[in-house]
Amino acid sequence: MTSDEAIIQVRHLTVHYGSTCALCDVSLDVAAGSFTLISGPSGCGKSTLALCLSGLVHHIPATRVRGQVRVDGMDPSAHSPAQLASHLGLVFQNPSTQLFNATVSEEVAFAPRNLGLPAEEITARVTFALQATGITHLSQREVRHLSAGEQQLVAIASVLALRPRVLVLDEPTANLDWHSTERLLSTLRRLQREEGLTVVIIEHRLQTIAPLAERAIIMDTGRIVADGQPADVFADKERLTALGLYYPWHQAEHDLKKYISAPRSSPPPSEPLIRLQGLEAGYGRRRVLHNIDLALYPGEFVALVGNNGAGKSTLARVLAGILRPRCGKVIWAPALRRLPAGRRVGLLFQNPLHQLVCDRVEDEVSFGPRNYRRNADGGLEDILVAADLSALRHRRPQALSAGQQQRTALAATLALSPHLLILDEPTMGQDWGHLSRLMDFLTHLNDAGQTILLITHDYKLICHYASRIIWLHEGRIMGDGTAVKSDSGERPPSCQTHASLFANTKAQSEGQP
Amino acid sequence: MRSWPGPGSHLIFLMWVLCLTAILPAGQMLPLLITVLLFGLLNGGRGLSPLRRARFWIMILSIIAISPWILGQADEAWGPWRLSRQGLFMGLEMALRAICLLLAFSVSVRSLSPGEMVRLFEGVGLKGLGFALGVALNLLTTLGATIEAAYHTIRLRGGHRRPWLALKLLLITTIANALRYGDDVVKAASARGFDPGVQHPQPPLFRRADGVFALSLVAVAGVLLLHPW
Repeated sequence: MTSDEAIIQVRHLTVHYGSTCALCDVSLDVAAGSFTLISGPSGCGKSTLALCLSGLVHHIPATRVRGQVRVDGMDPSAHSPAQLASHLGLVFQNPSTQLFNATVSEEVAFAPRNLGLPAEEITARVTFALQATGITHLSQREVRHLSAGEQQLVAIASVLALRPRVLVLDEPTANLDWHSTERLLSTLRRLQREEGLTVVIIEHRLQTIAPLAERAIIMDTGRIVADGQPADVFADKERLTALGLYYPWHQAEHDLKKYISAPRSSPPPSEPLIRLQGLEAGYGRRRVLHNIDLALYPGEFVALVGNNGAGKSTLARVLAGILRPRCGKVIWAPALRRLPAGRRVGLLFQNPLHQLVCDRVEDEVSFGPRNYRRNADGGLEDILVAADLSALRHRRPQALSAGQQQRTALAATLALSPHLLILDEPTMGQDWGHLSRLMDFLTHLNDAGQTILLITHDYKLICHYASRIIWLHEGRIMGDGTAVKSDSGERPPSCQTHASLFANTKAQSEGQP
Repeated sequence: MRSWPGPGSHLIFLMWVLCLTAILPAGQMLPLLITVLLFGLLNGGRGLSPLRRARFWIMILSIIAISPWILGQADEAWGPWRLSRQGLFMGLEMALRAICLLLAFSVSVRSLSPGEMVRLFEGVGLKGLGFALGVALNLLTTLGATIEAAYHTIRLRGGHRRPWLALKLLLITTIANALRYGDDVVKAASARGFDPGVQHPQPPLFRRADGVFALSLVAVAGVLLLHPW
């Protein structure tokens, strides 16, 4: 590819946030009409590169940018992001903070209105964007009532209405189930083929994106460390493992039923930790959970799976006592009934930032034990060490990386030694390296008898960690049984080093309830 | 995208309700309230959401409950207390006027998207305010979710045992998250071509349908003012 064919040209780009080098002497060309995947561990500079391409990096305080960037012949440093918008569209990771209009059609019309286009052209562009993303039927729906997958498609449609020549997507599948991901990717592929759109996608979920990509770029510590055909780049397993990335060469099974080996024929002999009987719950007029009968037993590692909107988070909220059921019973084991809610159950929300409330990591972890007058100082050291937070104990939790924030929130939750630990989508924004370390930590806890309920769309986690799977579909339990382990024999890097630990966990959970 | 009622009609309706709540006698407030409810339903009912909130009714009932104690001459004995019948009626009248005003404002604000808010405020010379207000209102749901998550986090960690510290932490977390979300929204809007410094030619604020609507509102006002209910 010559520079003339490149729609994106980056030359010796260096970006400093304060004293931290986020991008270090990066150079690359991206051909017009190509499909490029950019991956790398959390904090490697992928999102910063996207901000540079859109020109938004120049509006972040205390940021120094050196080098040259040209997008479709435009220099982002010399034009405002608004001027660049019709050349390069940027879709951010979290749709909830980039959708701010009332209805879908208003949301999609927002961008062409900003270009000052005539009303007929705005209508034509809205129609194009809605059709291109397959969401014409949602045009009059309220944005806030859409599922995460639908919101992500609206976010893409709202950018497509600018008719950009380049579309950059920052982790677009982070919140999506397999069906929504497939729908999104087929849309992108069609736009690339039919409209000649240049697609640059930043992702950790290599397995789903790599088959579509024509080129893969791997970044680490602000530099490009691999660049080429996906087959060549992902063949270097040692490099991927060292970077905490994981590319499984077999296709995962997406039929949830096939992960459940056999239904639980008879209840385990011990007393359940918590039992739900005929439970129904919802929000406003909407009923989300229907007639749920479920028991969780001490020491289980349970995966709660299902598509977006199936009711997984709602079930977690009921278990945590945050949402009151409309009917049915939540029955805790007699020994736990008198305990305060925070001692019975710990809930790790999807976004750890929502539950980081203190100024320092150690204050965050000791907040709960101090309130309950438990041995805060004695246990604090153990938890900080276990969560690998000792070196960060004086840092502000809000200023940490996503993985460190997740560990801080988890440590703060575990500091109260809850009998049931619920993790709602801990995979969001995490590369496999960070995630596997988190999961290994949880496996240690599970070995020690901790009951864990893991809500996830990530089939790798289901395969390799859960001993029991509960499949929720449209608010109803459609399957409940022991987990089938991956039949490929291939394990993620971290699991290979912890195979014995994993085997012990499995044996233990099979031996007891 | 709907053609009517647009921002012009909403502005006319809000001004109309403001004027009538100020000049209509107490007996005519009920028809005005019915008109506001009908307009709210015409806009999909989203603006009538305050009617479903407990805090809205607590505020209204507080007005009614306090009035007999502090307004008018005390002429009724209720146990050891002396209350005013006139004060009670004045409270009911104030509550009706408050309901009309709050619902009219809610209907107008919640029925308009940020794009229409921009047109509305730029149409009346307040550049930049429309986007900020429109975004702020539509982000309330997202912010509400983050506040709820922070509240339950603090509660599950026993924050209620140190309520002042818990309140301080909740406020700081809420403000920090609001600022972060505001920053994200500005980035997302910039990436979609929004530039507060650039004023694009907007469609006219008032169109023929808005004129017809204004005339019909004048007619309704005439009936309300002249007809003894």
